[in-house]
Amino acid sequence: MKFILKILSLFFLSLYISISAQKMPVDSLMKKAYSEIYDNPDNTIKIGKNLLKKDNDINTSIRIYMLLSTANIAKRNFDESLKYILKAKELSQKTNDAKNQASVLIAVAIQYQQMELFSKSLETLNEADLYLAKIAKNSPEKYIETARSYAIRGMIYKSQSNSEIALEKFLISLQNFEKVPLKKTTYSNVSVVYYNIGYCYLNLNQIDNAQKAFLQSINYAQKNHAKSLEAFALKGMAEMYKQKREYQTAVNLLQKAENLSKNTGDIVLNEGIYKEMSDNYLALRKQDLYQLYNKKYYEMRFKRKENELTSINQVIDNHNKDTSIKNKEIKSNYTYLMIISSVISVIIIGVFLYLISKIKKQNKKYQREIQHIIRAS
Amino acid sequence: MSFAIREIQKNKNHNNIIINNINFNSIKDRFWKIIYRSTKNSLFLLKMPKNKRNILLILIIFWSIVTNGQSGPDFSILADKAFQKLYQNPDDCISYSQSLLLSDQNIEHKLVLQNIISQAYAMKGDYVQSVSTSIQKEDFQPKNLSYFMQAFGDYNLAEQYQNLDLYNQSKKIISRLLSDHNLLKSNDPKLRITTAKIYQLQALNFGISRNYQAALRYLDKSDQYTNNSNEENIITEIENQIFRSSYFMKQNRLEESKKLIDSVIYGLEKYKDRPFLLSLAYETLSRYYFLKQDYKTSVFQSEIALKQIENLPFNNLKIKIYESLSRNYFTQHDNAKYHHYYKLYTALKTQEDSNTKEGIRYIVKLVETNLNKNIEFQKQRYSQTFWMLTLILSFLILGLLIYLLIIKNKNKDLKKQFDFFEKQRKNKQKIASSLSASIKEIPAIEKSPEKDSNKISKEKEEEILQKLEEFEQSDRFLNKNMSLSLLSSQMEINTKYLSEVINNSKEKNFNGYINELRINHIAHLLRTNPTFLNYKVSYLAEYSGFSSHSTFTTVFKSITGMSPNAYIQEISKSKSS
Repeated sequence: MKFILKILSLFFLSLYISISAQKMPVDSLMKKAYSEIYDNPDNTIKIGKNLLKKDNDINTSIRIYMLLSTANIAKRNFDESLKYILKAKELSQKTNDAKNQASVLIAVAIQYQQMELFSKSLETLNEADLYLAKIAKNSPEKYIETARSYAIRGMIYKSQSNSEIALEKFLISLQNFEKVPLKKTTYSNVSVVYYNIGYCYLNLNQIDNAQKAFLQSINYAQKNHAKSLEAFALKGMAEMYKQKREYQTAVNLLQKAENLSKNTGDIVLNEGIYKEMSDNYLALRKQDLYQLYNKKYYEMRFKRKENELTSINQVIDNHNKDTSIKNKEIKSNYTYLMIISSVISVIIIGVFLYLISKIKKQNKKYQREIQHIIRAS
Repeated sequence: MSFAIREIQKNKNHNNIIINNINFNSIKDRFWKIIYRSTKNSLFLLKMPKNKRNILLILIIFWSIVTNGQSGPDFSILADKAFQKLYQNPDDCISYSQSLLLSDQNIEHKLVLQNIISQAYAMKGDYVQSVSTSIQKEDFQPKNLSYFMQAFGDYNLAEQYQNLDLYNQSKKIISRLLSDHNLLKSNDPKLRITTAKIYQLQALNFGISRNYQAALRYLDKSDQYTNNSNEENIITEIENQIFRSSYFMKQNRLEESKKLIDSVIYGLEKYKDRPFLLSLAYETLSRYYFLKQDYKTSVFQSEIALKQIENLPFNNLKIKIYESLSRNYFTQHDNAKYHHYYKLYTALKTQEDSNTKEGIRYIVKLVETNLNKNIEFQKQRYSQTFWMLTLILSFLILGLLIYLLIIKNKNKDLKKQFDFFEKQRKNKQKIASSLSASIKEIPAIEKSPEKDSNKISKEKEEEILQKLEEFEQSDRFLNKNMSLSLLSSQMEINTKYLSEVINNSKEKNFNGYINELRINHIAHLLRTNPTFLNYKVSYLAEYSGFSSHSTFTTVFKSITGMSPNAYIQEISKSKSS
């Protein structure tokens, strides 16, 4: 559940990044860095740091800082991540564009939410509100950013199992979304918000409201042809039916969701679907199907965990590799030094030995001659 | 209510700590008694006056037995007890092991105890503590680690990685360890049980990646390294059986699995002192009934499993049991109980997940610092070897240099000797030839006058040289009081003239001239007259007109290149040969 939340908030974050990316010339390096963020965060950080050295306009710098921060989250190095977040925040203060400031702050808040620093996240959102207030009324950005801000608040409260407050926030978010002429990208966001609302109702045991919310979520997802979002919503519906003990209906919905998610390759979605499938089949006492889906669920879960840990594995591997390289370097350095010192010593010793043997020979010769002289006399 | 229970539990723990301390103290007491007795015995031995050397030998042997006794079997018993407690109550085990840790200075023991403590923390689900306890070993890294410690340290790390779901890292370390034949062929009981555990760990790694065949194979290998010698071995064996049964189940070999787990439970029920294992076994059995769709029995078995560890902090196992209970109740459509256990399950699971995350963050940091330290350590070691080598080589060079100087000095002396003897030989020839043709000498003397013709006339100079020649032939220079003024008055020549002629013709001052004459004379005597060889050096000194023994020796050495004694020896040697 929590992870789904994460993915969805990442969805928001990527939205910000893609929107701001459109404004600037497409930076292929940035793209590459983003593509490696979870597979090889070290490399992303390297690229980011190199990019920072160049002359960038403020917006690019902010993007780079956000990138570095996200990469450090992938490494679970929260201290570093926080450092970059703060830098991004500082930079955004320098621009006088309230819109920009607000959107950066919201991005920062999302980052905090990812790190599960919820109070920090809420604090940042409040700060963002100040800038949002400065934006002219009726401008669509104002409503979109406000909606995003409330959506994040809702997610935070939801993850703290505070469904009532979460619901309230989500509803405000929804109202703001509705004030703007809806575009395709916002359809997805609205769908996500409805999905969350559905879960809140489910938690509050208001099953009818939940159903309505999930239906809306499906509706908006379909408008944007977002199959994975539709599948998510269907899964939510299924959970609702599970609560209603209508297991067969739930299974039917889940099968639909499974079909939709087939080509998305979304591990989290699949994991959720398989889990629900196995649960429902268990309730239906279809042991074979339960076994099948339970196995699939565990496979997905394992895969998801592996994925989550790839960055960590990568980091550890990199460390190990670095160390062995450094060790080899040290070894070769010192071997080199030792060889040099040995060679020099051997030469010196050789010269000495030569001198010694020469002098010894001379001494022997003298002795012999002295003996000779003495004997001769 | 729950608070009160916790409080009671705490008190219990506290009591346990005290009990442990007492236990430990009593062990210590016993140990001191042994030493006391042994010293008493040795005193008794001392009283036996028979053969002191024998007593010393006995004493040494006795002491070595006593000291060995202290670090050998005693510790392994204590560690085994700690390991047993690990499966009884992790909190107990932690406090017990920590008290042992405080009093033990042996690094190897510390490593083992730290591993036990970290395992206990891991069983409680406290991964941060677990990681921090297990990776503290770098404190004593600079010292040379024994083979066991290296292998054990790696095993430790592999275990930590596994606890934190970093199976790939764990696998990597283990495959490296297992490719080492020294480890596999060792007969050391410590290494054998460690190998057994390493195989078990690898089996678990394979089990998690669903390669059950490999997992079972590794469990079999693990069994090959265990024996029934102590708790640690027995527990590892039982664990292997439980895991095996679980993997059988995963492979759908249900009946085999059931048979195995039943026998394990039968064995464990006899003693009831391994609650963790018993609970784990019942949990496995409950899964069997779940697969058989006998949900009621499954619930029953799970409840028994839970009962074993209800008040013990085996949180990881509890998560499993709660999960299985909630699942079973869900199938039975018992909503209240399903929600109850599902809540317990989620609470513990969330806690475990966040602990794992924290642990991962921590281990990454620690690994980083550890590796950096490792590099530092490596550097230090290499620079040490380098400086050692350089030092040895420079000592060698210095030694050779000194030797060179010594023989060079000797060479100088020898050259002097050679010159001296050569001169003597020439003198002899000259004397011989001067006797035959003394006339020839005149032209030789004619060469010199040109130099100082201004001051001294040729005739005068020749006269002086003539007189000096006579003086040289006589023995007058042996006179102790011989000086420039005396000689000049004897020769009736001006002191100045005499000095100048000597300086010019002999190229040395008067004293040098006299000394050379004296030494030449005595050297000649020593060679020609054997009786002189028997005289003392001091007599020779006096004979040749030197005021002291030491002046004689110095002058002799400066002219001949060897001391009078060496000269005498040389002569006698050549004479006798």
